[in-house]
Amino acid sequence: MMRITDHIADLRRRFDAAPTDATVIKEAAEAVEHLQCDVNRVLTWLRSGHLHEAAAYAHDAGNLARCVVDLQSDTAFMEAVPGASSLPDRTGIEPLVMAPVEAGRNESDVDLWIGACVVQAHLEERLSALTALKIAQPREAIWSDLATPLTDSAVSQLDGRLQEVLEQDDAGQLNDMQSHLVALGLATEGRGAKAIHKIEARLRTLQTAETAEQAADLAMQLHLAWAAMDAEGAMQLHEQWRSLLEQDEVGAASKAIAAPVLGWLDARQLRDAARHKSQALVDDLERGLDENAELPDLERRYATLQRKEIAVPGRITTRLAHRLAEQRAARRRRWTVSMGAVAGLAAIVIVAILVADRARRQELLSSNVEQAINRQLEVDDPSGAQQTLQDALAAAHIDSTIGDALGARIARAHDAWADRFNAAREHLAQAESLLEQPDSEATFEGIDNAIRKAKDVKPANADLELDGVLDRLRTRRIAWEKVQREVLRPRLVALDSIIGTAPPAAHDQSAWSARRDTMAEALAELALIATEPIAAQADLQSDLQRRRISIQALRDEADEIVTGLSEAQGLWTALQSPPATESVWVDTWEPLIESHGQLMQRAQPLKTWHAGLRDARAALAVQHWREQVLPELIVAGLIGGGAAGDTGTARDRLLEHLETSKAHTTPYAAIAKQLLAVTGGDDPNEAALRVLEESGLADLYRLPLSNGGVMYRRGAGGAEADTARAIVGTKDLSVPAGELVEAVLPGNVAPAGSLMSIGSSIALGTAIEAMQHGESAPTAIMSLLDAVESADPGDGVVDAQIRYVAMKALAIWLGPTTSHEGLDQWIQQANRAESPLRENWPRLSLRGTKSQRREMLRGLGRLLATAPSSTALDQLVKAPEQQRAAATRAAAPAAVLLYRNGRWMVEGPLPADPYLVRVQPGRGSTFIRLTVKSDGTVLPPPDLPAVPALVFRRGPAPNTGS
Amino acid sequence: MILAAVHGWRSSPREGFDWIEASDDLPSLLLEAMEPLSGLQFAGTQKLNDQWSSRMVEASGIRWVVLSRISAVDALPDGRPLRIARHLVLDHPIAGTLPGGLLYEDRQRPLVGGGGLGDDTTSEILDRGPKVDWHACGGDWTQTIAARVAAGDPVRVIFPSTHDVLEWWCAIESAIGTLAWQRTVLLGQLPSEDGADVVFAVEGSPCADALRASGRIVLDLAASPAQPPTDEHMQTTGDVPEFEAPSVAPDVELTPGGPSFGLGALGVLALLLLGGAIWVVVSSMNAGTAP
Repeated sequence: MMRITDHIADLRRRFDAAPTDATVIKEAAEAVEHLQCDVNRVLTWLRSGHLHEAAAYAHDAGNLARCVVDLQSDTAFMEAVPGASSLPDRTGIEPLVMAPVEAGRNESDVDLWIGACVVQAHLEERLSALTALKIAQPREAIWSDLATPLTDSAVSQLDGRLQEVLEQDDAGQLNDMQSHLVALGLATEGRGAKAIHKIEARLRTLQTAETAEQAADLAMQLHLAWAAMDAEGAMQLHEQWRSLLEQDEVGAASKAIAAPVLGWLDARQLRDAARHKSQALVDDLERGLDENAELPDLERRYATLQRKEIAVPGRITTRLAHRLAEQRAARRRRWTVSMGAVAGLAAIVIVAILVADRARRQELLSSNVEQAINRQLEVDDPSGAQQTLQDALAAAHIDSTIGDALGARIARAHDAWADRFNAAREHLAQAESLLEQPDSEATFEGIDNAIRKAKDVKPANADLELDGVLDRLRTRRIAWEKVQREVLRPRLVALDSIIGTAPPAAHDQSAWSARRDTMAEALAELALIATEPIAAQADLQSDLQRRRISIQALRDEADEIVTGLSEAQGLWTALQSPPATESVWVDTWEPLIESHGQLMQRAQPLKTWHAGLRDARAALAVQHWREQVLPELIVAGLIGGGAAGDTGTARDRLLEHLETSKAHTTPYAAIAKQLLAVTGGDDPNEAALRVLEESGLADLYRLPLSNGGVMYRRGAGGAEADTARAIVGTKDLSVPAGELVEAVLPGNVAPAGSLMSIGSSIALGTAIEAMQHGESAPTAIMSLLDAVESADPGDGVVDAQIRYVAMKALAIWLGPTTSHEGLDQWIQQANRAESPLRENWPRLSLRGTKSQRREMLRGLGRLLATAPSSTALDQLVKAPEQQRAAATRAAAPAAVLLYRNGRWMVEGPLPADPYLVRVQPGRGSTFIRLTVKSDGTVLPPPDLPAVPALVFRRGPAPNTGS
Repeated sequence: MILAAVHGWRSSPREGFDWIEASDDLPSLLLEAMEPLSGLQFAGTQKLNDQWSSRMVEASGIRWVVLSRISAVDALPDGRPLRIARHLVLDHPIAGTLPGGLLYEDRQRPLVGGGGLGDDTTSEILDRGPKVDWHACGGDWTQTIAARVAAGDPVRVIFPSTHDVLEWWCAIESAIGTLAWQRTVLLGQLPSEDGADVVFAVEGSPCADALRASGRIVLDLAASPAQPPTDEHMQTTGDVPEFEAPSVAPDVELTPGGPSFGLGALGVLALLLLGGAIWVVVSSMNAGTAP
């Protein structure tokens, strides 16, 4: 059928050829009407949303849009053909133009639809196209709407064919029909789905029948394989059988046929496995044979086979037996060869030993002969050596070669012997000729040399008379040496007298210098003596050396002493008057004191030395006074008459000065004490109590020792042998009892009695306790001194120490302003270094010898004999307070008067009316006016000692409490 | 002593193929080795001609001579075909008789319950031989085939159906002599993949057809029965020497030669002397006390 667009194109060509042909125009009018209907239908479908149908219809009709446009551009045709002008205009046909584009998303399906939509298309083709479009566009309901009437028609047409296929029982046709229905989209539709179900049921029936038939056939094949005993084929069939069983379509008859076959296969597999295992063991044995395994290994493998009753092939058994035989034969061969080798080696060794022994014997004989000849030649006996050689040759102890060599050696020795004999004889003749010359060292030396040379070269057994010459030489030399020693004797005696000269006095420098020179001259003389020929003898050498050492030591000593005395003398000169030369140099001589102290003591009398040392230390005190104390006194107004200030610091300086200089002698001691009295100070009772307490002499006990000594102890607690509280030194007196360290008794010393109390120590404790309860110091101290005098039991050492402490406390109580010179002097005497009170009396009592202890007691007795009497002390304590108050009321300190560089000078501002205050015990105070000269110096009273003194002015002292 | 063992279908105590009869003197390993021989080439779906075979089987360290006969029997009610195999077992070849002769005599006995053949039952078949008519083959091929068999070459022959295959073999082996014991002979059976020495078949049997179809060397004496043996009867593949057809009806006796080692009498004597010397040396070395 021609498409409308083609038909109109044909009519237009015909119209162009015959524009007036009525037939053509009539056909053209009908065609245009047809065209208009088609265009309107397509446009209607488009408007109603049936996009694909419209597109397909337009495609079936041709290009409608172009056809309309071409007609409207053909004016003649439009005018001639009625109804052409009613065609839609260009705007109206635009949806038609776009329709294929809109619907073209599934081009192949659209093409299929377009192709199926022609009127002549087969129903199934159109249905198939609709199904494809439904699958491609499941949301388009139009496809389902269009497919429903077509499906019904198609199923009705297929019913006959389906029934025919079902009746034929042909699985191929059934499968084709099923595929065809699915392709038409009928599998999910009502009647179509039922048809598909019928087909599938039929196919399952056919499949079951086929499987049963296959199972029967396979069971028969299994039986035949068994009948043919074809195990491999049966195994392959078994695999197929197993897959059939999985389908569960195998009949009971087939299973009954296959079951015994499968049992046979299982039994065969078990049997094969067992056989393979046995075969593996057999193969293992054979492999061992192939690889030459060790015999025990092979036997083990064979035993395994025997144990499991596995048959071993004959060839393997034969090989194993052969291997065993080989092993035995090899072992026998090895044994035979080894024994042969051992026997051969033994024979070789024996022969070698025999040969070596014979050679060794021959060598030993030869060596003995050679040694004998050598010894004879060494003792210069060539004849004996020649005889020995001949005997050895005769006895075949050596061979001719060695004999010739030894003979040559003997001949050479004989010639040498003759030469040496002649030389010795010549030396002897020379010595005898020298004996004829006068005695001298050179002559004796020449004879000695000649005899020595003759001895050196003389053969041992040569008949030469050397001893006679030596005896003559010795006799003459002894006589000659005696003469020489007599010549030297006076010179040696002179040296000995120099050595024995007594040393000069230790400080006699000139004598020591002379001694040094004398020793130097003696050394020179000794050197001259050493050059004498006789001095070379050993005994003289020793004597000279001894004298040389002595003289050198004396010379060195003299030289050292001279040098030391020279230095000490210079230092001593510098130490002569330290206070007068100020104290600026004290820092320089302090180390000199340390380094030259021993020499200075040696150079100066000990007493003089200590005096100088004391003066020097006094200089230190002067320095301390001027640098530390005096400025504070001036600031406080105690010196110089300035405004009254704080006297506390000045007082501390004064106490410090007295404390630091107590071991020395400060020339300002009296001044310091006067100023302390002026400024008041602490309670004299307290000060005195402190002195008694700090002495550490209270609560002492004594323990007699087996060596006659005494061990002192703090307190009476503990056993008598307890040394935990022992006082072994003066330092322990200030240590509390609980802190004392364990003492060690000297060797072979033990306690010789019981622990005893000391009366004076008890009295001291009583006095301290009384003062602590308010008793005045003078009363308690005087009672203490009385108790010490009558103490029982007494201890000489402790008694003396307590008396000293008591008087010291009394002096403290009296104060500096009172006059108690006798007491002060005794205390100063007791404080001296050489004082027996300064001895380390606990140590001496414990470890000292009897003589030391006795000497200490005697010294204490002498010291105490010079102490102030009780009466004197009693007078001292009567009115000190009144004397002290009068002095301080009468005047005030203003300056210090001191003696410097031969003149009296005032240290500090000189008051207008300077006075000295002299306190006379029992008679009050005396004011002495000082005369001041024009040059500022002062004329003191003629009996004023050259020590610093306070210069007063009229009026009361500042800051005094009284 | 010739022992017998029969392998066939048993219904009890368990249904299946198994040994129906077996002498107690037969070792189990031998029975296991003979089991595959009991069903060789049993197709089952077609009538089975009697099959015979002669072969050496090694078991328990002994090389046994096994002479087998396989025959089809009535099928089971459900149609399963059955067969039965009867084996004669010799622990050594028997002098004075031949394997084919023994099988020929044993065919007279029933398959089951026939018992074994005692040494005294040896027939004189070797002496007399079966009466075989060679006219159908164009001449007497006895010596030709026997020479091949004796030489150890593969021999596959199709005979006319004028005699059964056992008779043809008996005729041939009489010319071979005792060497026939050393060869594996299959009568009516196809050779297995690893080959067999001698395969005989008669015209019309499945084995003959199969031989022809196999393309292996076949002396087809049934193809042109009216012609004397010529080269046209031979089909070769080139890997085996061709048969030489007898020019005349051969009644020639084969005279087997003795072994030749290539050494003369002097060589043997020298070897003996050398061996003796070695023996003396070794004996002297072994004479010591072994550790």
